[in-house]
Amino acid sequence: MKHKKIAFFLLPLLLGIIAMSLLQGNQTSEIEEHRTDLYTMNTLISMTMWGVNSQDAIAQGQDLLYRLDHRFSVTKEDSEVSYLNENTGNWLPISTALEEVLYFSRQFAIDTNFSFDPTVSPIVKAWGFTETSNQVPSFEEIQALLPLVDASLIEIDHMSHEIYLPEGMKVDLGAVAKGYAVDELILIMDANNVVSASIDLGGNVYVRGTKMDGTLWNVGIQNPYGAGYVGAMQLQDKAIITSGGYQRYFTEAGNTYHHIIDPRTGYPADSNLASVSIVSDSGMRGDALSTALFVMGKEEAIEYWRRYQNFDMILICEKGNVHITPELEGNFSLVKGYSQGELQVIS
Amino acid sequence: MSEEKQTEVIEEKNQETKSGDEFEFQTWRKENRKPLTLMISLVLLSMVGIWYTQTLAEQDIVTVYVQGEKLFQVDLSSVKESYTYDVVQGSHFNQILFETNAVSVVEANCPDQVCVLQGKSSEAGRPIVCLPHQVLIEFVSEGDEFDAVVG
Repeated sequence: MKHKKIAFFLLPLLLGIIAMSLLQGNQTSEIEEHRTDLYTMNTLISMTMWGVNSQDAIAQGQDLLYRLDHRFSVTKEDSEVSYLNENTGNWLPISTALEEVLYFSRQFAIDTNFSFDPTVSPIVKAWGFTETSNQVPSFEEIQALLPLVDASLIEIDHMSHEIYLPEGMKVDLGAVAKGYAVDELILIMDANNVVSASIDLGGNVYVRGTKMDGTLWNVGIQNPYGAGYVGAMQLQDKAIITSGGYQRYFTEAGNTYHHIIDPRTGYPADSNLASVSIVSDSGMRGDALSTALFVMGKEEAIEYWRRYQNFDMILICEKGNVHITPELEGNFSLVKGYSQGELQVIS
Repeated sequence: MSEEKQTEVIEEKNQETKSGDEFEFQTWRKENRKPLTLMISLVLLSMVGIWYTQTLAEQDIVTVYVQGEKLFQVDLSSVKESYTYDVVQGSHFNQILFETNAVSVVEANCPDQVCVLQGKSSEAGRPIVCLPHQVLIEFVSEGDEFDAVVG
């Protein structure tokens, strides 16, 4: 009788343990999860992928990122971009990757009325944002640098794959390179049948498919006014990227100077936005859009969105109000405790 | 005609036996209702128990990565007395402080000091990153709140 009682309690416990291990075992029997963290492209990159060939996809992704860093880095002396910047005034052969990114950047600069410009880097450097210490450059210094900040002067020969930069011009693809990497990673995941993935290139996020439990990815947006978050949205198959003046800035003589330089003035963008987050199918366009729309400011950004309506955005105003595009309504919600402003849907 | 009748008879018989089985099952269930529910709830309870202990255990474990390589893991909830660990790579140096339920980089000779300025991280919080020295301290489960964060 005693044995029976013990068996009566042990049997279900055993059954439960077996059931649980079966449940967990099934998830990993065919679809494998693979994850990697690496430091390249000037940031910490983490990728997690699920799929039968996810290990191959991760390996190819790592290769790709190291290769792209070698092409696009402005700090590495032997990168392709450094080679271009040091040999301006000549027609130079370039890789297809660089040709694609520079062509996109030039067209995008023209399309956004130069609120984005890949040739702004000498001015960013003068402000010290790519250096170890910051300073406010003199008005004369900025005026002297401005004539060479003009992406429309970049000439590309698509037949011979050659490029011409006017003498003294410097390109910096920091605002699009990670987005381009996201797009290339998507191709790798397509080729390797990755069913689900979460990729984070230092804030350039891409979520693929649903999570393995079938739910959408929950992506949070950081509060530009301090610790914590503004809101969160549930997404799949989207690239998400945020630009904001709060990310990097310095104070001098009581004034605050942030790192997003308006290419038209040479000064930190006088934006009435605290941050811009773009939700888009394309990583590169999303990356460039977040910078351009921050520089534009709220009104112009909304106008730009109305013209295309093929991406979504979350604008956080200086006063704290949050504006979202209609597609995000129902997906996006403010976190409890965000009291700086209210949620408004752009129409 | 006769074939149809025959099948009808067979069907009737089948129905009889079916209802008979059902009746027996009903009485069996009535007799064993209490032990049965108890057994099912015990199965469920053990499953929930396993799930709970697994998620609970992941909450406070941090992994230290150096140059992308996993160095070691620490369960912060089991840290009784705080201690430091020095990550030394040539001239690069980061001192990590492990405390009960918290981790921080207290000293480093990296140029930007971002890792030191971040302060303490706890409860499946944001990872601590030293980009120049390629040191990463990350919670094993990043918490249930978000899968990714932009900003």
